[in-house]
Formats: sequence, C-alpha cells, structure tokens
Amino acid sequence: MRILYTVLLIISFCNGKAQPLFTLLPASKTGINFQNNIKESSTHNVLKYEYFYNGGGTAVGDLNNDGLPDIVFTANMDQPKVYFNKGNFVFDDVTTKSKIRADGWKTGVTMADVNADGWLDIYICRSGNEEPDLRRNLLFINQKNGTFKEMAALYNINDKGYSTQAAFFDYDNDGDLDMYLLNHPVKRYTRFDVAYMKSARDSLAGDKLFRNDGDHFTDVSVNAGIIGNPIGFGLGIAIADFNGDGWTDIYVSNDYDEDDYLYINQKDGTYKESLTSYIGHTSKFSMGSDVADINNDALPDLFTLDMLPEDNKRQKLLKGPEGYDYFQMLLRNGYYYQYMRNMLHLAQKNDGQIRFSEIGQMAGISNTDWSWSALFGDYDLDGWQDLFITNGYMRDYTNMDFLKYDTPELIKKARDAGKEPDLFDIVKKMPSSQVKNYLFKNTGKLEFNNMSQQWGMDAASLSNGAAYGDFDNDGDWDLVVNNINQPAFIWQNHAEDLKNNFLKIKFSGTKINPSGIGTKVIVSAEDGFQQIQELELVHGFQSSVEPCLVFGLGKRLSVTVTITWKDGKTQTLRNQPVNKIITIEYQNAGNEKISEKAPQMLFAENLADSLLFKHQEDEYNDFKREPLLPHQFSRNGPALAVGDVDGDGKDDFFIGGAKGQTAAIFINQGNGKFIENKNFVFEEYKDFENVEAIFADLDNDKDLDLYVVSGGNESNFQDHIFWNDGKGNFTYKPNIMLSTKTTGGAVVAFDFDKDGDLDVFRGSQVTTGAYPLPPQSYLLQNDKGIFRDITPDFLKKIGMISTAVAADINKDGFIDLILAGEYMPVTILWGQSKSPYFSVDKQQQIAHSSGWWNCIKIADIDQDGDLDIIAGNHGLNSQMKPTMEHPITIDAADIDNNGSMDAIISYYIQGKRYPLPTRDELFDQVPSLKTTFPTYKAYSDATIDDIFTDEQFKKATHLKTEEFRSGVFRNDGQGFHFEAFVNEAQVFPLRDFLIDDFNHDGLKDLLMIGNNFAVRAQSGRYDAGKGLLLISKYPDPVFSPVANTGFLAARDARKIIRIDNYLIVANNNDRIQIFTIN
Amino acid sequence: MTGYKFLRLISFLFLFLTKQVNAQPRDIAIAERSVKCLTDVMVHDITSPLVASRDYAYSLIAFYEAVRPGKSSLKSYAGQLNGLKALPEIIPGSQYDWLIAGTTAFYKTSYALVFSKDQFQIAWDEIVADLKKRRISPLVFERSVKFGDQVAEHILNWAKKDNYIHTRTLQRYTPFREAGFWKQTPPDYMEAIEPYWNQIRPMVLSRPDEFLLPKPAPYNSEQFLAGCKEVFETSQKNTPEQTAEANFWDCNPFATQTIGHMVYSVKKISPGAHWIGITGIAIKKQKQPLQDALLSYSLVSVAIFDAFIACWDEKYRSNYIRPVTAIQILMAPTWQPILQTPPFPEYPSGHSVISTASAVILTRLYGDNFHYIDYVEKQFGIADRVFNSFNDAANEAAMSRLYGGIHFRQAIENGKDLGRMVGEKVLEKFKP
Repeated sequence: MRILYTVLLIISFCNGKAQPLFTLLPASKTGINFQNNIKESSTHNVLKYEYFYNGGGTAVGDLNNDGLPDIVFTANMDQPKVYFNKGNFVFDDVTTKSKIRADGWKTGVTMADVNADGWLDIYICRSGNEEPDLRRNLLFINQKNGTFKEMAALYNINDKGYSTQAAFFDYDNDGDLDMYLLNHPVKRYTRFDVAYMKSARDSLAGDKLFRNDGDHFTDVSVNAGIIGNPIGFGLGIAIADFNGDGWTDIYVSNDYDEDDYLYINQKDGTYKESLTSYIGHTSKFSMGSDVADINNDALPDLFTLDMLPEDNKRQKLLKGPEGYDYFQMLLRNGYYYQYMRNMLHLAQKNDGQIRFSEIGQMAGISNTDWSWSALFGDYDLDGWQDLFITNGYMRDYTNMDFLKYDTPELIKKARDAGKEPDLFDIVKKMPSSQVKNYLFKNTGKLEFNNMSQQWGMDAASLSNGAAYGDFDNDGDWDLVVNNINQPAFIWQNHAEDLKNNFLKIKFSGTKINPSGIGTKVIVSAEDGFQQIQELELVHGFQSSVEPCLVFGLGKRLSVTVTITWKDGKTQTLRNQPVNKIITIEYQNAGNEKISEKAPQMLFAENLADSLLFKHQEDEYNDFKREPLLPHQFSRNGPALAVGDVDGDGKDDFFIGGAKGQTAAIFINQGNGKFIENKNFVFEEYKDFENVEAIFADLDNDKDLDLYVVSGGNESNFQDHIFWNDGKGNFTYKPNIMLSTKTTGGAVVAFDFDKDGDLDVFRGSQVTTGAYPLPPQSYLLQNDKGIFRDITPDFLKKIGMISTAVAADINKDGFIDLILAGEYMPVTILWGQSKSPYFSVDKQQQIAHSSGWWNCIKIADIDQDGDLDIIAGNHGLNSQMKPTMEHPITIDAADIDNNGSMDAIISYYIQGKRYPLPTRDELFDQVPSLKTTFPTYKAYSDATIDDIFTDEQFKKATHLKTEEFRSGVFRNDGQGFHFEAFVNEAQVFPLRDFLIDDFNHDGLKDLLMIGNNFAVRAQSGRYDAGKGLLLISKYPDPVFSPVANTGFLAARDARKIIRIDNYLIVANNNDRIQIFTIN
Repeated sequence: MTGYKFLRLISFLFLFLTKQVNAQPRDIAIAERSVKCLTDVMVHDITSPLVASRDYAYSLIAFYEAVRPGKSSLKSYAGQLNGLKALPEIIPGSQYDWLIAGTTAFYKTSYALVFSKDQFQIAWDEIVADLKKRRISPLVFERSVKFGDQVAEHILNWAKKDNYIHTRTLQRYTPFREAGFWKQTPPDYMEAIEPYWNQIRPMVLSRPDEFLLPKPAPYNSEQFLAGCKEVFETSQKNTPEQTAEANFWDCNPFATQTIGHMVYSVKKISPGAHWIGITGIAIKKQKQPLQDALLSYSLVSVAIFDAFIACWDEKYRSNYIRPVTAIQILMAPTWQPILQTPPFPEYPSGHSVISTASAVILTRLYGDNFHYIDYVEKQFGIADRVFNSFNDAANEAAMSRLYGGIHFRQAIENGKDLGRMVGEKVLEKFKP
C-alpha cells in the first residue's frame, strides 16, 4: 500500500509538470459566460438584506436526456442561466428557449425529477429584501422538449419564506421524493431569551419539511418534529443515512448562535433532533457541508464549513473567538459547543451506535477562510475521497479595524461635515476579500494535503455554489463554480493522466424515484478496500450535483459492487471490471439481505455500576487569573488508584474528589460489584483537590496505605498520606516533614535508597499564577514513615511534571525515574547507589521530545527483552502542530512590570512563528501593549520580538515543545527512538492507557482514553477521544486501531485501571464508567 | 515634543512680550481644545468611563497646578488630595507663560496615560501649531516648558501610586450564578469591567465606602418587582421627550451596532467626559481667565474621579441585576431597553452619581440658575439641550437611565445621594 502510494505520488508529480489535474476552461471554449453580478444600490445592499453576498448556486444534471450533464446557474439579481452540454466541453446557452425566468433574489438551485417522469426538473429558491410574492420558490417542470413550465404553486411548494436551498429525498421510505426546505431569518434575535426563541416557529424564517403526496406536497414540519424557529440561519443541508438504518437523516448547518441540527429519522414520519447524542461540538458560523466516507470504513462522515482563515494575518485582522465567559453563557442558555472553524466529523460505529469524532484540525482542513461549498469527490481516482472548497466574501465584513476604528471614524467625519452618516457609503468602503479556493488530496491517513496549486486551482475569486459532474463522460468529476462578479469556473479533470481506474455508476430506479435517490453503494476489493457512497443530489452549498456516483479505484482491476436501494432491495456485482460506466437497474434487484453479522464486542459498559461515583468539579476558573493559559490546571483529576486495601486478595479502588467533594474507596465484592467503604477521614480533607493517588505500603506493615496528591490551581496543595489499619479503614496523622506547596501532577512510590521501604517522588505540575515557570517538585525519603524532603536542586524545578514512573530501565539494580510534562522532554533520571540518588549529570533528556505529555508507562512493548517508554501526548488535533523545525515556544516575563507573569505562546503558521493570542486577548493580559499595537493591522504581522523588548526577552523564561504526537520511545539498547502511533491515536490528548492482551493473541495491546474539556474557548474542547484499542501485530511494529470494540469512553476521560475482568474509567466532572471485558 | 522644538526656533523670530489682556479667550480656547484632544483619543480607544476619569483627573490637575502660580489667590491641591505632596515651585520673580506651562504639563501627563499615543500626538501637533503663533521670548518659553514638565512628572509619580497598575493583574470578575445577581447583558454580553476600581486610591474620600448606601431591594421582593414593572411600563409608553433625554445622556462608550456579521462600535463619550464638556461650556460662557478655568476643570474631574470609586465600590458590593436580565426572566422574554446596557452591575446608577457630583461642584463655582445650552453630544448627531441649572441637568441625566431602561429608580435616587455626598466632601476638603 505504501509503495503504491509512493508510486502514485511520483506519477502525479511527473504529470504535474505537463498538465495539472484540473485546467480552467475559458468561456471562449465552453460558451459559458455566466457570472453572478452583484450590484449594490440604496435598495439592494447588505444593510437591507444581510445575506447579500452569499452568492448563487449551480445544478448539474442531464436535462434533455442526451447522456450529457447540463448546467443551471442562479444569479442573485440577474436571470438564471441554463446551458445544454453539447459534448467536448462545449455548452449552449438555452436560457431563453427554456422559458426559465426568475425575478427577485435567487439563492439555491436543485435538479430533481419531482414528478417522476424520467426528466429532471429544476427547483429555484428565493429570498432577499423583496415582496413576498417575489420570494416564492419556483418549480420548473421539464416539458421534455427543452422548455420548462413553472408549477410550484400546483405542487404546493411555492413557499414565500426566506429560502437558501431545498433538498429532495425520500424521508418516509414510501418511494417518492419529499422536500426539506432550508430557510433563514432576516432579523437577529440573539438578544432575547434563548429557550423562548428556540421553541418559537416562524413561517418565513423557519425550515420546513414537505411530504410528497403524489400530485402535491404537504407541509408536515410541525408533526415531523422540524425546528422552525427564527434564529436558525440555515446555510447548509447534508442528506445521508448517517446511522445506517435505511432511513434518511438530515444535517442542517446554522450560521451564528443557533446550533446545527442532526435530524435522525424515527421511521414513523418524524425526526428527532439528536445533535448532542452524536456530535461533541460543531462549527459556529456553519455554512456549506458535505458527506462522504473519507476513511474508507463504509461509514458516511460529515464535514461542515466555517470562516476561520488559514494565514496569521487574517486570523488576527478578522473577528476572533469569543471569550471564555461569553462562551460559558451561551452554553448555560442552552446553546451547544460551537467553534469558528471547519469541522470534520468522522463516524465511528461502536456496538451498533454511531458517534462522530471531530478531527478537522488534524486532517488539515479546518481553516479555509470564509467558505461556502464543500464537495468531496475522488478527483484523482486513487480510492480516497478528496475535497474541494469554495470561498471568498465580497466585503471584508469582520475586519476588526474597520468595525472598531474605521467605521466610527467615518461616522464622525460625516457628522463633522454636518451630515448624518450613510451606512451604505461606509459598507461600500469595505475591502473585498478574494481568497483562493481549496483543493485537498486525501492521503488515506485521516489527513488532507492542500494541492490547490499543484492541481491547477490557483485563482483568487469570490466563489459560492459549486457542483461536480462528468461533463466529458470520461469517468472523473469535473467541477463548475458560481462566482460573484467574475465568470463561472469550468474545471476539466485530467485524472486519466494518472492512470488510475474508476467505476462510474448510474441508476435506473423505481417508477416514482427514477433517479434512484437514496441508493447506497459499497465498492470493495480483495485487498480490503471498501468505500460507501450514497446517491443524494444536494451537496456543498445552494447546489446539486450530477445524479450518479464515481468510485476511484487506484490500480485495482476488479471490484465487488454492493447496491442497496432505498426500499432495502439489494444487488451485488462480483468481479466487476473497472473503467466502465455502468447503469444499475432497480428491476434487477433482489431481496437478499446483505449479511452483516454483529461482531462480538470485546467490552461492554455496566451502566448501572457507572453510577457509583460522579466527579464534581468546583467552579474555580484559571482563566480569570491567567487569561492566556492554554487549559485549566484546576480541572485535573480525579485521582484513581487500585489496590487490595482489605487484604482479601481482590483489588479495590480509590477515586478522588475535586475541591469540596469527598473521595471514596470502593471494595471489590468479587462479582464485578463494588461497594463504597465509608472512610470519614476523606470527608475531613475534602477541600483538597485529589488529582493523583497511589496505594503503597509506606510503613512496612504489610497493608496498602494511600498517598493522595493535591492539585487544583488555586490553593490547598498539601498532599496527604492515609494509613491503612489492614482492613481498608484509613486514618490520617500529620506528617510534619511532608510539606507540598505547589499543584501536584504525579506521584510514584519506589525504594530509591534501597533500604527496604518505599520512598516517594511527587512531581508538580504548574506554578499557580506564574505559568510556565517550573513548580517545585519533591523527592521524599521514607524514614520509618516520616518523609524527608531530600530533593536535589536540579530536580526541584525540573519542569511542569504531569507524569512520573519508576523502573530499572538500564537494569543496573537501581531504579530510574522517568518524568514528562508540559514543555518538557521525556527525562530519565538514572538511579544511583547513594545520596543524592539522582543527579544532574545522570539525567538523560530524550532529544526533541519536549511535548505536552500526559502519561507514561514502561513496558517491553516490542518484546525484545528491554524496557520501552510508551507515552501519551497532546495529539495532533489542534491548531498547533509542533515539530522539531517548527516548535511551539513560550516566552514568559512581566512585560508591563505590574507583577503578573505574561506568558506568550507562539507557533508556526505557514512557516513563520506568530503569537497565539488575538490582540484583544493579549491586551487583557498586558494592557500596556495597547500603545504598541494601536490597530489590529499593527498586530497582524507582529511576532514575539514586537511584544518583548530585547532586554525583556533576555530576562524571560523560554520553553519549547517539539512533539505533540503520542507514541513509543523504543529502546534499542543504544538509546530511545520515537515511533508515533497511527493518526487514529493522535486525534485526542492521550491521558491514560492500559497495556494488556485484550484480543488474546499473546501480544500486548493498548487500550487508550483521553480528551480535555477544560480548555480556552479559542481552542475548543478536545472531545474526539472515544476510547481506542490499538492491537499489536507482532513483528509488525505498528499498532493498528480496532473499531467496534464496545469500549466507548467519550467523556473527559483521565484515568483507566483494570481490576480482574473489569475496566474502570475516571472522567473529570462526570461519572465513572465500568466496563466488563468479554 | 518635536512640535515644541520647532516652536522654540520660531519664537526666536518674535521677541515681543505677550499681551496678557487680550489673551484670555484664546487661552481658554486652547485649554478646551487640549481637553478635547484627550477626550477624542479616549473615545477612539473605547476607554472605559473609569479609566477616562483617571486620565482626566491627573491631566487636568497637572494643567491646573502648572497655571496656578499665575494667580496668587489660588490654592494648590497638594496636601488637599490624598498622597499629593507639595508641587515644584516657580522661580520667584521670573516671567512664565502660563498657557505654555499648563499645556506642557497637561500634554505630558495625558501622553503618559493614554493608549493611542501616536493618534494623540497627531491631534496635539495641531494645538502646537497654534501655540507657535504666540510671541514669547525663548527664555520665558523654555522656563515655562520646564516648569510644566516638572509639574507633569510630579503628578505622574503621584498617579503611579494609586494602585491602578496592580488592579490590572487581579482575577477577572466572575458573575454570581444565583438569581438576582448581575449577569452579562445583551447584545454583546461583555465581561464586567473594573471590578477592583474600589482599590484605586481616592483623591478626597478617606475610603471608597465612606458614604455607604442602603442595600438595594432584595431580588423578587415586592419593591423589586415594582421597580421592574416601572422600567418595563416606562419603556412601553416613553414620550419622545423621554426618549430624547435617554439618548442625550446615553454616554456609553461600549455600545455596538450589529448587522449580520458586522458588529461595529458606536462610540460616544463617557458620562464623565460629558460633564467635563459642560464645564467647558460654563467656562466659555463666563469668559474666565485661564487659572479659574482650570480650577473648574480640575475640581470637576476630582469629583468625578472619587464619585466613580465610591460608585464602583457599591456596584461590586451589591452585584445587582440589570433590568434587561430581570425583565426578560420575569416579565417579557423579548424585552429590550432603548439604550444598550453597559457592562457592569446595576446599583447605583453611575451616571446619577457622576452627574450629581459634578453639578454640586459646578453650582458652587457658577451658582444655581445657570442657563446654558449643552452641545456636547452634537458630535454624535444628537440635538443640543437647554438647561436652567446644573442640578436640572443632573436630575435629567439621572432619570434618563430609567427612560433608557438600564436602571431601576432606587439606583437613580440613591445614586444621586451618593453623588451629592461625594461632591460636597470635595468642596468641604478643597474650598475653592
């Protein structure tokens, strides 16, 4: 596979010199001279109608049944245009003859065979600052002679709302095509009570569902459970059977505050909005969307667009993210987690349930500026779905200088001249932001590479609706794009140059659904290749695509095609030869069920037992003190420790409380049941936040005592040792020698002085109020139960430690200490025979390993006889992706001499290092910089050198991070070599894992958990972790992910332990989870 | 200071003595323009009313102290204001140009305090250009500049110790979760500003809570509900006159206008700046000499400075709910006040406190029944209003917050009490 991939790359590279994948065809060749002309006037401008610059749509389909796909464009202000395909990329403008006319403000367009006569009809949506009758949507019924007749009223879908787009599909599985109508408001109601607004229904602004009742449609919105409120600014609609139950679901993108909707079909004519059960967070200003199987696991994945720019300058110039408080307020008022960036929701099936992991940042497609249309298609036919994105906005509307300074200045100038300011004059002064469209190649590893330039798409434009179609019938997708004030783009695809194989599938469906809308096809091959596609018309934004499917097959020569029609009838084509255009006919379908035997789950959650303990965080908010922190240190924990406390031979467990919450010990009853053993001493010490804990016999009386580390980022950092009476009853006695004064992050008990009792290392995580200065850590020598602080100087401030383990890695008889943490390399302190036991000259920092490490374990993972280090890091699903060449840096000093530490994170954006905070965020921390950066523009190019003076910089603390990936530091006897895990294991911060043989093949597997919800509103919560099993395939060094294990740890998971045949997962600010290992 | 260097060269060409007699109206105009220069940059920077009150007070005290020796009957603020030690003295018997000394002190102090220094400098250069037209001997000029510099330095050193810098580093405010407490308000739900302003050293008050107000009505009490009802009903039947009053006294530097993704700032001066403007109107009307003019400006700014401290002390003691929050929960989920609610707790009404304190000072200086036309808001497209006394104006400003739907009556009435007490304390301490 890897070789094949390399070969493909070489081929595409070689060909790239001669001819890029796509070439833009001029109007002189195609005859298509359409452009969407936007002419602003006093009656027609963005102040009268806020979606004035959203642009037009494009629909592709064979209107005259000559075997060649034709094109319809909508212009917002001008008439729509219809072009018939004459072959060889020559088109005829047949608009006049077609009799298609549409006045008013046109938006989306869809081709669909609404009357099921075998001829595609055209549905055009309208909106704008127009009279109601000019907003009525239009249905042009194909008269089979090149002309069309407007009949929307007859079919009862002449809706006069403010429409964006309509989608035709069979929602009730009765065989005919129903219609979802995506509408938007023209007023803003965000200042009002949210619950009230959410439950309201607005006949003009709200979305609607129309059921096809044969010769007319019926508005069933209310009974079908469609939300029709006046705050849903609908901009995108994605149709797919997301949960694979044979009933079509709907994803609606909503701009602004209102949440997106995921309507799951209830199979009874109703939908249930189920976003929060499937998806952890969404785009904020959600725009166009698309659905495709991007990782070839035969599950449809979802992608939504937003407006986060790729480059630093525009990120800093344009409106930035909300503050933490504002975000929390939206949540409290009932809105969901929404962040301003594109979201790629990767579907995962677990025990029959679909859950989406949002991985857009890791995939490299989260920042594509003000984006409209997303179209997945295997443009290079290599077997992986690539991605095309249109973008651009006619007025740089969110330019902060313009909003904060220029506009008030223009208003003032007008008033000084004795005139009332005309806002329209001001709008006309806004700059236009022409941005290049994006074309990404799917690498097959949950990553996309930006190929816009190499593949020939390098023109800046204001592009909106777009569609694909195979205009030259050569088996690859060509693209057509509707542009504002610029001719439409027709891009010819030259995938044939790559010599990849394809299969193009057309459908001849039922009598009432001749196009076969909703049909699902899985193409598979002997090498394990599989990909699902579903025939739906509406993709991207305000547009519909050619109603057929193209599968890229790479070099495969024969495939199996499995077709499932909407009514469940199936067909399987075995040994299907490639490079064909085939038509599948419904009449040949059979009733055979595609056998999909439910796999045996490796794990099963014991839901009732998971109610044993719920971790409850206190309200403290670190960002109020240090607004530039990347995450909250006050939300670590809960501590989770395993050990047999009552000496009955069965392991019990301790779970810590957050500040104000009492910790608990649960006694193992032997049958998977755990019962709390009340220890009143924990109640007494509940004001300490228990972030780490270990059971260890610290007084050599043959029972397990409990060392509990105190954390939080506020106060009360004193650790406690609770002494066991042998029966699991714990008491506390003050240990005057044990005094910890910093936030704890790690603890390990081991006998470093070889005197027969267990000593302790307590690693500290953060200096409260002075991130990232290293906090004091403690090496504590056990002297008959009294712990003396013998920390050598170098160890005192070694770093922000979040994990520590002890093991004799070099097998010299002395236990070594392995440490890691934030902005800290993986560090090995080699144990020595005598005091000070650890020294700076016996310290090994693994080169280029500085990360944001969360956890470390030591095991002979490759079974070569020596100990390896397995380490959990922040992962790659983040805006920042540090490497050795492009590290994250943090520079900290008191810039404004006001007594507070100013720690500025910088990271590389497009090859250059820029500060992370926005201008407003920076000023919140360092008000004096307002003078340095009087405008957003002044800050938009700023680097760390502009923030610190030379003198300040010299005195500052400088730290860096070069690695965010989790992986194995493999011990080869000479040293450690880092091998990162596969990308499936990089989509979440890896917080903890178990090393065990879960699939009983005699090899060690890794069961991983992780996430982080306690983060700045800017980065958004890390919730892509759902629990992951990586299995070893010895001697292949790569661990492979296993899907569908029954292990779903989707919360803010921090710790995992195994007791007998049970797994216990501790979640921050949430209940625990207990799983049975089957 | 480049402007001054140029001025120094120019002034060699004109070795004439200044003609003091005809200079006053022009001096006053320069003083007014100086103040406007500071106001404009603060509006541009969206400076909060609190920070604005601080910038005004130190800059205007510096201005006053640098012109004060020109009129022997005037007292220094030294020893009168908390922590202000004796100011630099003039060289006895030497000639000074007080306008140069005063503007220099004002400029230096303001420049140090404002954020957009370049912008301030550009505007200031225009004033410098006019100052150049004065005919002053280079010696007098340099002596005056030097004195102004010394005064500015003295005032800035005093300002440094007012705890302002420290309050920038404290934990940001977290609203109380419970009902009845202040929550962020529409449309922008901004975080509450300056929760620690009571830690700023007052100038006259012995402590921020020297005048403690009664507690506001408990949430959901009969009195509270009556207060909500009054705001709600007033908003339903506001007369055009009431609406005009609300808009005239809006003085919200934080307001925004939203059109789709476009959320632009609607900039206005702060309540303090409005009363500084009224002071300018009174000065002009009375055709006062420079020294008296600056006494008025500075004394009003001192009263505003302390009034804000006392007011903010109570705001973050009671952390009281705004009408928009309460009415949307209890009465009408889509209710909106005419004015945008500024981002801090409700009780007491800051504008009531500040306006009353200012009116107390101005009434002492210019007498009651002082008829004037207030054109301060003209620059924001708002029509002038006519007043027969400062107290009338202050009462109108206070009540306008009820018409605007951003304050309950108790915050207005008690706010006026607080303003009166602060104003009178200022007069008691510094008898003008």
